[in-house]
Amino acid sequence: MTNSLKNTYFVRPLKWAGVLSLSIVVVGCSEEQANTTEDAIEETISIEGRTTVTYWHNHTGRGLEAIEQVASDFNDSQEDVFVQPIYSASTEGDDQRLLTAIAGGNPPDLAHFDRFKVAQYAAENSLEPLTPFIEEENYDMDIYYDYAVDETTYEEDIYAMPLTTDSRLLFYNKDRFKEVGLDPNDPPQTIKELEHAIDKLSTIEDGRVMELGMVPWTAQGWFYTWGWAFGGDFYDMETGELTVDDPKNIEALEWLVSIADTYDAATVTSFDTAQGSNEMDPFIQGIYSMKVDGPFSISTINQYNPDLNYGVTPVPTPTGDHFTTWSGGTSLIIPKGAKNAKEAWEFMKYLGGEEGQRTYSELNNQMSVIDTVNEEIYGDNEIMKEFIDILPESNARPPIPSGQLLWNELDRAVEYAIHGRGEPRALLEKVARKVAEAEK
Amino acid sequence: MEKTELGKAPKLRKNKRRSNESLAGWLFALPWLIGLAVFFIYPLLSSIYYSFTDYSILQSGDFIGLANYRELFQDELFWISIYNTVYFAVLFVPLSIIFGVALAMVLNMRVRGMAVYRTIFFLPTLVPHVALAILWIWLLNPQFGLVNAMLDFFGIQGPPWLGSTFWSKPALVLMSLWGIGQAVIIYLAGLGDISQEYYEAAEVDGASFLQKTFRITLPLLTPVIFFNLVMGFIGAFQQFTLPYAMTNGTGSPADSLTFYVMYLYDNAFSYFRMGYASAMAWILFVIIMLLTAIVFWSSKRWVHYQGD
Repeated sequence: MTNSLKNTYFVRPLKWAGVLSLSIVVVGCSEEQANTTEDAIEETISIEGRTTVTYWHNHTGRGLEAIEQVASDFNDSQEDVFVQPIYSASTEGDDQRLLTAIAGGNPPDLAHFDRFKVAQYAAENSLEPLTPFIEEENYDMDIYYDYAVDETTYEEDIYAMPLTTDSRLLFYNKDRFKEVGLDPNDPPQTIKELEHAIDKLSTIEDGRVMELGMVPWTAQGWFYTWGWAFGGDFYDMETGELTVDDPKNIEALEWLVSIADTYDAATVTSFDTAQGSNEMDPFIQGIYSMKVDGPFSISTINQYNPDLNYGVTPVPTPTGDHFTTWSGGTSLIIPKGAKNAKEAWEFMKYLGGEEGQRTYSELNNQMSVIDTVNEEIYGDNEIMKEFIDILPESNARPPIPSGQLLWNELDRAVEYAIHGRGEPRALLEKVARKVAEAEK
Repeated sequence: MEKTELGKAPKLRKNKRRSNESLAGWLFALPWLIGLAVFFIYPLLSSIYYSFTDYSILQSGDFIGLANYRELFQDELFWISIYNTVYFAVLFVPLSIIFGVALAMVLNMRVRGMAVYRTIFFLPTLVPHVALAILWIWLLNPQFGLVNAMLDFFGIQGPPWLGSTFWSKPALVLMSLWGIGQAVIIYLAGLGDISQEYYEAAEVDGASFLQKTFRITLPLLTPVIFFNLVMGFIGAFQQFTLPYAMTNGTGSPADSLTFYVMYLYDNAFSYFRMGYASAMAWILFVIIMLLTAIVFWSSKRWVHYQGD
């Protein structure tokens, strides 16, 4: 009797307390461990006789594996330089940690960087020019796609080593094409054919949109995409003049407005407000039958709807030829104030060269800025091949200090135009004025 | 004589002890005070200076006098962002008070399991704003969103919410109302503070529920409403995370969700116009201060304290 009492009222709680405290200890330990490894990563590793190059990147998952592989390959081949990759979170738009590190005079030796922002940082005198290294060693920048080098150039100096790239194509749902009587092996090539396809692929019942052929300004249908497709241009590399209000650009915007008027901009855009979430992509859901997107969306399709029967084709143009696209991508920079610029350049050459690019691109599923590397990795992939085949015709966004402002203002102009808050010509002229003003 | 001496002596001792204590107190507070000076007061004051320069973070700027302020008043987006912010504040703050008070009164009833209901209404305030934004993007999706599905049930065709320049701000108000749990807690405390005697006296006089609500509950709740009004306006004018996360910082569609602090952030961190952004921050400070002053000034007419 007493024994069983003891067991129920005394021992059992003790057991629980034991389990609880044990689990607390375990959790505590693992937390401590996590903290120490994190600290260790932030602390500079020093190896006798070698200079440590600190390298900030924002890669996780497969990307992290790629970075670590490339760094360790390089380190194995070296006796003087040791590259230490350090994770530093950043997003497409903001790189605040790097920004404050440069402003505070304590930057890393190397950083992964969106090529789009090179001119802006260079204009602020925050990047180390690479031109002296390139000239001294006669490093061949011609191995890269022209547009990629254009984007790293500011006032005749090169400020970044291009690493990755992308391009934009029209994705189309082959099954939907068959359903409505369009030839899935003959996707639209001209703007007229595209309009026809959008019309056939859209189902509107009692004023409610059930399915849409395409909403041209969603996904990667930025104004750059359509401006270049219509044969327009945004910048004259020779004179350094902005040509935002190019008549062809105005035509492109007028076309977007005509689609918005036909299908009601608010209604069709609202389907796409869940852009941030992958499985809600209307193309994957089968609500949109076409979209303009980049190679980065392929893995999303494979993950959420691997059975989707789709194809890719160049973005249609008014004439059905002179297909074009545009590309962004990442690069490596040496921030102003870096302590080991010379050693950082050694690693840049490695990662920027064929061997480094092959390892990095393959592990990280990225398109390289070297055509032979792309051919080798993606040559026999039907869809990826389309993405690399168009690269020689690709464009870079204008490498100007106000690149971000220009991007935002173009996006704004499209939205104002499709929501009926201004005329295409006036809107683009305003963008041109505003950006020219900021460039002064 | 003796009495005063006796009285004096402990007083002296007490004073000495007090000064020792206050020294220790200051020493304990010192780290915080240094932190306040270095990380708050100094940046605050330097932002006044920077608002008169073209400072870009990466390079120290030149003194340009009032140029930032002059440019701001001609900046179309500055006015759009003010319009949006005021629109949101004027719609959201009164609604949050009406719903908040109503909800608090419901949650103040003596019903079994009230703690559970209170928890349910407080839970949404614990969700991080970015997660909340994503959740509501789904809820408001016109194709497969819950909100329009519910409207559909009543035979109403729901608006395109976040796709339309007209509906985007009301949608944001709707989303923000989801997080009034915090205010409700304060209202509940206020309701608990009202003495039961008033109600008992009113019941003896045969007052109806409505009479009790409008003659007793609401007037005695005005100090709490006043507090939530001031805090609500300050919060509404600093609206940032929800619209920023929802629109990827673009304020789409067509700037209908570009709020004041979003435009300030863009200038500071996208365009590196720290001086311009500092000027915007000070203008916001003046606006909020004036507004708070007006609310305080008007409070004399409508805020009743128990025992007044």
